[in-house]
Amino acid sequence: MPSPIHYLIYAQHESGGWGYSTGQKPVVEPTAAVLLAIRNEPPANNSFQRGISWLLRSQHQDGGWGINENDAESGWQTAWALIALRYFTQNQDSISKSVEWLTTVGTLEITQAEFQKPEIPKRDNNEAFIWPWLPGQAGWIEPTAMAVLALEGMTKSRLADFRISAALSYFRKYRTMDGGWNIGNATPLDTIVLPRVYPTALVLLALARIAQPEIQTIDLNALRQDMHRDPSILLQSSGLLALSTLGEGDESLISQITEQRLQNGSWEDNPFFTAWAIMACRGYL
Amino acid sequence: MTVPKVSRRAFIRLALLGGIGAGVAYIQHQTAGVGLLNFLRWSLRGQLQWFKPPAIVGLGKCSTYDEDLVSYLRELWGISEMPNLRGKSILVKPNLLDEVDNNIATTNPRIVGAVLDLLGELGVSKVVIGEGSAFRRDTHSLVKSCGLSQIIDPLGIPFIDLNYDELVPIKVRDGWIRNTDTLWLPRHVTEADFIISVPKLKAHHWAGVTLSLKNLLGVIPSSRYGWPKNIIHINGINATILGLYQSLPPVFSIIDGIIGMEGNGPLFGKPVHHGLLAVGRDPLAVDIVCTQLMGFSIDTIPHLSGAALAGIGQAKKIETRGTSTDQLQKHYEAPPIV
Repeated sequence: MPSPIHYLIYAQHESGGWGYSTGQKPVVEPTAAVLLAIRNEPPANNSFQRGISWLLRSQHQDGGWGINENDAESGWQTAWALIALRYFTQNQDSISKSVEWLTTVGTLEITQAEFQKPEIPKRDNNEAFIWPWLPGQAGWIEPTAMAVLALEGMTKSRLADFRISAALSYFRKYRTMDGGWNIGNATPLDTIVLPRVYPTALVLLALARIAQPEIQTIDLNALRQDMHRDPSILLQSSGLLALSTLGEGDESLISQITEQRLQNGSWEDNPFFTAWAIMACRGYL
Repeated sequence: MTVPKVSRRAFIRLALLGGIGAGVAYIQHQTAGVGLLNFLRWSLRGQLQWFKPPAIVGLGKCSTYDEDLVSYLRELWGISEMPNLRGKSILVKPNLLDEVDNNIATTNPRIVGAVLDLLGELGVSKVVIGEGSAFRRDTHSLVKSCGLSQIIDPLGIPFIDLNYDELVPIKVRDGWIRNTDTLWLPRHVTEADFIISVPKLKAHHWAGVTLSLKNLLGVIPSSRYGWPKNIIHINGINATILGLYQSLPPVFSIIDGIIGMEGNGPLFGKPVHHGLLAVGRDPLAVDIVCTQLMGFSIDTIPHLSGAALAGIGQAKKIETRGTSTDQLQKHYEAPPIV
């Protein structure tokens, strides 16, 4: 059986990136995830360099990325690209531009122009500062957690620090009753929602970087409970990676994930899922 | 100083002009969100529906999912005068929003199985099932947990997680989606000859109802717009439903109302043993009939009243066939509409 790394080399699009399935045209999110997964893997050195080149080529003038190289609107994918590039590239200009874009991306209540002024905009509501999926929209858990992971340690900007602290308040406020997080508000329309693995895992990874004492036992229990309920390889992998990062890794979970590998070395013929599974088994992002 | 005398005729002309001006200003103000031209165009198109043939909606009463569902659908497909699908490429779009404990939030997999059997009989050339969950990062896991994979895997019918499909930029049509002229849609959606929308009949806390038009929101790719399909929060859910529908290949409807959901849908409502199956080639007409069978007025469902006003389908003349509406009438608990 080929190794997962060999599958990812095989699944690379001729232009250098990866899609969400074998042979699909490149998309920023899976490309960034695969780059994180194959770093430090000598057989994939060439693939890695081609992937980095694709990512750099796909960056917009404004510093951000869209979903793919043809999408002119920069969006949440920028955080993924920055997380990938921050480890590798010598191209500081590209990184600086993406840090700037992510730091100043506008929200529903604050425009990019306001964020670009010397003074931090004044709002009573912390949610005005957290990160949206796309510019000018309301903030949500996942893009906020990804932005924190991307920006933390990358900039000394006061604005970035302020927005990260707003994110921390947001995570505190929108923890679900059972611990963990859903995609946004924990009680939308007065309905109590359940925690879900993927947003919970991303928030835990972000909190592990910026405020580990904020993590509560109920968060880990909520994560484990939903992982037990949903066997999706993406969810198992993201959940395990969060647990491993917090020193709560579990060999049996690694075995469960490994057992689901296909004959071609992948998980579900999906480079994105495969990258997550590799990172989960390895234990770090 | 003498005041110039205004003749009676001049006065009437001035009053008429003033009235017209005030009327235009009023309409302009009332239609500021959509634009006067759009409003006039949509209104005219809506009125023109009076001159078009009636939409036919086939209704059947089927009390459980254990019955021979494909026989019901075959009959309803026939009486509804559905088009010939031989050789066509079809995307079947069930409603797989999220998983809840009693599993009534999703289209029943047996209904999807019956639709696939029917499409096989009709000689379609290609069929795929597609959905992109608004709340879950992996729709495939919902396919497994709701039991749909047990139906489609043996048939070799592929399921496409539309959140992760290859995306194609298309031009938005008909003026409903603002601030952009491009919508990114999954390739399996844009390449289909027809889409068959197969929703679970539900009350919905924001849109009023989940029926065949609302169900289309699942084709919006979250990998581009975020979870849960964030374009609806910017453009508004009702305008997005209609703009999306206008930008898609033709859509037909098969409604799973055997067990519906009332109250706090689309996830946390209560089951209603309704026993309803509905089929039609005009999603608006089908949705209007089903909404009325839930006991709601379409005036309380903005995307349906908006579609009716704008002539997005036939709302003026609807003919139901099959089981009489009297036998299918229910009174659902209304959703807490925002």
